[in-house]
Amino acid sequence: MDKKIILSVKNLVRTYGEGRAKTEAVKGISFEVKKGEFIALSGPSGSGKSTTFHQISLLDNPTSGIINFCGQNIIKLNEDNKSNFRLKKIGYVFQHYELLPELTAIENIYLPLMVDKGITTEIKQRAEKILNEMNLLERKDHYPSELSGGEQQRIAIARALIKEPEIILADEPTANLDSLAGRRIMETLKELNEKKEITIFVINHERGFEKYFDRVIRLKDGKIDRIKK
Amino acid sequence: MRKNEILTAFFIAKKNIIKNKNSLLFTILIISLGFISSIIIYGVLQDVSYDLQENFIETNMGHVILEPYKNQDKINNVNNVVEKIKVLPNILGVARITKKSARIYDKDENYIDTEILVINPKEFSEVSVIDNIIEKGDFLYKGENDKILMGCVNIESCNEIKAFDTINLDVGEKARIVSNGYPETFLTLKGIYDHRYIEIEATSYINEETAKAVFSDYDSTKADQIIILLPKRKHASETIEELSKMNLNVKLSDWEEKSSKFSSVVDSFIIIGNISFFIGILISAISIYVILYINILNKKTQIGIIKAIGIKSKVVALSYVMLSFFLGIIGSVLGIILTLLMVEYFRFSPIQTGVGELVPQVTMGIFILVGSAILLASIISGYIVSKKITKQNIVEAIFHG
Repeated sequence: MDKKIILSVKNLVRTYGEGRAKTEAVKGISFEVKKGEFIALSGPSGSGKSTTFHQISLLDNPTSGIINFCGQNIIKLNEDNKSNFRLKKIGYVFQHYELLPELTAIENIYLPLMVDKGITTEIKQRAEKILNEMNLLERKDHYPSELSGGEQQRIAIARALIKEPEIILADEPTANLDSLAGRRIMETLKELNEKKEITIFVINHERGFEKYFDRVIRLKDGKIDRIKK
Repeated sequence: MRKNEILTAFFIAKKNIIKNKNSLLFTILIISLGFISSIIIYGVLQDVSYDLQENFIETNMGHVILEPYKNQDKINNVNNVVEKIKVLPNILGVARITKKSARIYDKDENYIDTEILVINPKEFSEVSVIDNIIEKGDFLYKGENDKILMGCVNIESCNEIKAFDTINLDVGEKARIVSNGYPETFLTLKGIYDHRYIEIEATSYINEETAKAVFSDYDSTKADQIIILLPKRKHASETIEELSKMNLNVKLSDWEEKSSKFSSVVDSFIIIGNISFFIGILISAISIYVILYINILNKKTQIGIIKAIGIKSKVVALSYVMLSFFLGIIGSVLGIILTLLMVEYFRFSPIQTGVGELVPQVTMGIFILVGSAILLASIISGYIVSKKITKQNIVEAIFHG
C-alpha cells in the first residue's frame, strides 16, 4: 500500500533583495515527502538546501509557492498558528545544535512541552525517558557548555523528538561532528525512523551517509537536479 | 494568554536570571544608581528649604506668631496675652517683640542700616537660640539700659565675607544710633552673635529698658509680635486652634505662612528639587531602556531559537517583561537600601552650608513614587525592547544574531 503524502512542496520560490541585488535562492522547486520516509536533501553549498528547510519549517516566509502539510497550505497560517504548527508538528534539529545556554540538557528537552502542559512530572519523565534512550540520562543536569558536540546534537534531537512531531527536519546534523559522532547521530535518526516510524528529512552533505536514506533529493543552483532512490 | 504560557515565560525569565547573575547584577546596580540620583539631590534641596525655615524659626520667628490686625497698630496688653498663652499645652516659650529700625555709626562714621528687635532677654532666650550663639561678649540682661547685641555680619572684625556693609566696632565700644523721629543716642556693643545663616545676623537686639531710652515712645505693654516656640512644627495647628478659642483679637500665623517673606527662595529650591527629581527619573528610565536593549539584543539568537521550537512571540516578550520587572524591583530595593545608607552617612557627616547642615530629606512617599516610576520604566522598556526583538525574522535572529 502506498504511504500517505505528509509534505508536498509546489513551485517554492525564495528570493532575497531587490533590483540588481535580487538573488533567487530557491527557484520553483516541487517535491513530496511520504509519511515514515527517511529522506535527504543534498547538494553543493549555496544550492538552496537550508533555504528550502527554513521555508518548510516556517522559520522564514517563501516568496511564492505552496507548502502543503497534511493537506493544509501552511504558508497562509497567521503568526500564532505558525508557532503552534512548529510546536506540534515539526521537530527541527539545527546544524549548530542551538540549545539554550541558560537551560540544562533536560530543561532544553522539555521546554517545548511546557507551553501546553506546564512543568509537570509527566514531561520531566518523558524527557528522562528520551535521554535514557539517547544514553544521556547521566548528563541531564549539565548545561550545553558542559557537553560535547555529539552530546549536544543528541539533546537537540531529543528536544525535537519529545514533541512527537509529524516530521523531524535536521539541517546538516552531522556537519560539526567528527565521523564517529556523526555516524552515531545518523544511526540514532535511522533507528527513530524505523522503530517509531517518524518521518525524517535531513540535509546531508556526506556521500557516506546516503545509504541510510530512502530517497535523496539533490539540489543544484536552487533547482532540483535529480532524485535518487 | 494561557496559564501554561505564563508559566513558560516565568521559567525562561527565571533561568535567564540564574544564569546571567553577573550582567544582571550590573544592570540592577545601574537601576539603583538611577534611583539614588533621583532622590538624593531632591532630598538635599528639600533640606535646604527646611533649614531655611528652621533658621528663622529657631532665632526670631518661632512656630506660631501673633500680630495685630491691619487696622491695629500694636498688640495691646501684652503681659496679659503672654500669661494666657503660657498655660496652653506644648508651649516651650513665649516672647514679645517690638520692631524698630535704625542706622548705627561707628567712630569713623561708617554705618549700617539694621532692624532692631526690642526683647525681654529672659523671655526671648526661651524661644530663640541667639543667647547660645554669642561669638564675643555677652547676651543682654534685663535692667541694662544702654546695650546692644549685633550680628557678626555687621561687624568688620567678625565678618569674613566682606561682601556686606560693616562697621568697625568691638565689644565694649560705643556706637551712635540714629532713628527717624528720635534723638540720637549712644549704645555699647555688649555682644556679637554668630549664626550660620547670615540673613539672620542682620538683626540687632536691645532690651526693653534700652528701648525706652532710644525710642521715647516705646511702650512695654504693647508689641508688634508675640512668638511661640513649640516642640515640633506639627504642633502649630493645634496651638493656633487653642489660641483662636481665646479671643485674643490678634492675627495668628504659623511658621509656614510666615515663611512667605522668604518663600521665593524656598520656592526656588523646591522647583530646582522637583526638576532634578524628574530629570533623575527620566535619566533612570532612559538608562534602563538602553541597558535592557543591549541585554536583550545579546539574546537575539536565544529568542530566535525559542521561537523556532514553537513558543509564541508574546510568551518570549512576556518573559522579558518579567525579567525587566524583576530588575526594576531589585534595583529599587537596592536603591532604597543604598539611599538609606547614604542618608545615614549624611546624618553623621552632614553637608556644611551657609543655610545649615544638610541631610537629604527622604520620605516613604518619595520612595514609593521613585520605586513606582522606575518599575514602570523597567516594564515599559522591557516590553518595547522585547516586542521589537521578537518581531524579527527567526532565521535572521538565529543565523545572523
